[in-house]
Amino acid sequence: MTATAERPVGVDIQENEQNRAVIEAIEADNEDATVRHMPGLVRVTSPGRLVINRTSVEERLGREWETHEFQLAIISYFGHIKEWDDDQILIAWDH
Amino acid sequence: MTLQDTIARPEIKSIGEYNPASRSAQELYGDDILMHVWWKGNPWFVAAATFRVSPQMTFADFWTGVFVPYHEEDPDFDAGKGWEQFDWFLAVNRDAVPVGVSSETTLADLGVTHKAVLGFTAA
Amino acid sequence: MTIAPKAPRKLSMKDRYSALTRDLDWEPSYVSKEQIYPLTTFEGITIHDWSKWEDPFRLTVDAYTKYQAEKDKRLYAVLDGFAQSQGHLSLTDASYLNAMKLFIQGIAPNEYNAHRNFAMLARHLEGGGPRFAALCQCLDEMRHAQTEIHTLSNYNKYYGGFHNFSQQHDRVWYLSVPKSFFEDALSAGPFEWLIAIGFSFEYLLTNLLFVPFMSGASFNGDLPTMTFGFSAQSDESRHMTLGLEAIKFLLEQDEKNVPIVQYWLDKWFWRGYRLLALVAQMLDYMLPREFMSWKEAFELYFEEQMMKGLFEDLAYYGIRPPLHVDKAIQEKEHVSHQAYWILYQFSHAAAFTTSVPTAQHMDWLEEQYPETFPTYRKLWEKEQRNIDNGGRHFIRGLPQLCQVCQIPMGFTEADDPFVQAQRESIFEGERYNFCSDGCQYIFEHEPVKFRRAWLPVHQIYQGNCGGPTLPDVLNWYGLEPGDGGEYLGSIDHQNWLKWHGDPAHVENDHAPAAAGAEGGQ
Repeated sequence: MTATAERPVGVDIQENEQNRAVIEAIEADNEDATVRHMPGLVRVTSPGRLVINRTSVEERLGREWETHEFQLAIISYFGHIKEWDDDQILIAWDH
Repeated sequence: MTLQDTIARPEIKSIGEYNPASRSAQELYGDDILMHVWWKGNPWFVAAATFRVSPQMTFADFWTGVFVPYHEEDPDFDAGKGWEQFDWFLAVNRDAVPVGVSSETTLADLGVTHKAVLGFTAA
Repeated sequence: MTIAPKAPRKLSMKDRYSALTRDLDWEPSYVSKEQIYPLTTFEGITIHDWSKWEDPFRLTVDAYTKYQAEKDKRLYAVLDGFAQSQGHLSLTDASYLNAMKLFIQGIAPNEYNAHRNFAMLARHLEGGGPRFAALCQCLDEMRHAQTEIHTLSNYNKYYGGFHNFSQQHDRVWYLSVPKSFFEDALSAGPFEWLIAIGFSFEYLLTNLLFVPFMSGASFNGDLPTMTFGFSAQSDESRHMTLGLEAIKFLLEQDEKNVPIVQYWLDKWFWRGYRLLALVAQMLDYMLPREFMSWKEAFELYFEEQMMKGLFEDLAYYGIRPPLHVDKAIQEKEHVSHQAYWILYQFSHAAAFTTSVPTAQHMDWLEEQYPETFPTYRKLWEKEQRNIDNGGRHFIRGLPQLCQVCQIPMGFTEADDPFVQAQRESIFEGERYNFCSDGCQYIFEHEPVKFRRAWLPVHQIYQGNCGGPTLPDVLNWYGLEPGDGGEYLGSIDHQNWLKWHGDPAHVENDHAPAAAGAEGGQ
């Protein structure tokens, strides 16, 4: 059995102009993240946990961004959405 | 002929009486039955074929009227070699119960009951 | 003393969500809870505290409508642009649309079915959180059905196979596979539905359904389908969350729930996996420009994400991976080839067309499946000899069907992968046939339900499908010339060649057809 901290979690995001900032923010805030391009989508995986920070996205987007907006970007994910509040979305396994 | 049950009725969880009848029961076919004919190990046929037949049909009639018209669509099948070119069996899960076929044996004689699988392979 | 009123304080997401769910979930005073919620006990599930159900999305009505409206706006902009620019002419090939015919016939009507059942859950679940999540999903599923039908309706102006999907869903033999799958879930209780559709289908398997269709669309020039697919999938992440929350909630509430949930997981993994045989063949055979094999998709989306991720998480609750999952893994080398071979042989009775894969396509398959495709290639070469001798083959009889998944019994033994499997059980004096241990296992747990199955072949032989001959049945199916059969030489194929022949003729041929459809000229 692999430790919860190592088992990868991930998210599939539509590849378009608006989502570039989101993808860049994820890469910046998750140093072990791996990015794979597939037709029409980008797949980001990370060992143990993957975090999306509102402020990181806003810095790159140059405008306000609320975490609900991530619903326009996401295609799929694996792991468990442990937290989704005004500032942060966190995907990780529970056990 | 009554078949021996292989499973017992499990407990049913429902909000009311729940006991629907089979939609494929033999009675729905009058005096006929459905039978499945399976060329084991020949992937040309995507699956066994299902036919509606009288269990009183002789094997000779089955061969000429049902079997050959369907299986001669495999270009490698030669009907002229007769039914002796195959070993015949009833398939029951992974078991093969051999049956002896001859002109006058009926399907019922062979033990072909409703939704039974009559299998064959190259002898 | 306050002179000017302060600006209203913005509530946090957590507070807004709590106001919507908890505060609208009051205790009844003049009727009992059992009278209000009569469906939450008969399945044997025990719930002690509904307030423990968490929805991490914390979605509220204003946020939901705002983002759903934005998703639809983006989609409709793409649909308009594609239609106005005759985008269908830039598909890789007309044969690509066979994948979409299968989609509108098999999937769209079940999005509608899903909306019906989530409406029921939005009424019958006892907690405020899960009720609201079910309501959102109900609206999502309706949106999916509508956008899928609307998107694909553009192709209906020019191509066969799209015009009668709803009636065909109810009648045609291969569509009984998805139809019976969903009706099995619709006729279950609310908790089984949550595990069947909410968890097993949405979380465990949906990536294998949508991502192949949508990436396939992207690779084959089908911008509208890619867009509706991604638009639908963005809702799907919420649905996956609902499913995962549901299973964790049931497992945490009471130990007695664990074996019940385990059976549902065993059952619905296998039911869903069998249904995906239709996707497997689409991915490997129906896309003129291939992008990923079924085997690779299965390894990526199921083996890596689910077996190595999710099931280690669920082991904490005493849940093991589904029974028969080893068979599904073994079958990844075979299932697409067997499923397409079935559809190829019976496509004279279908609302899509098929064809022998091109030599180049078979080379690709051989690269993807070096161990197994050479054997299947021999079948295609045998069929090519038939065609060279003037006879493209369609099977003239009717196939043996599995009582549970309803697919023709063409799947093979794990330890003898080129011999079709035969299984049977006898219940109350009647024999039932199955394609696999997985389907037999389900029947043996629920024989009374599954003996009620409406098997197309058995119904044809009872005379319930329009009449005794093949033309009678095809007429009853609502098929028209050009809907099914061989692709090469079909109406779609001839039109495609005409539209792409002399570039000068493309517009001339095309404009009157489009105008004619609107009663112009």
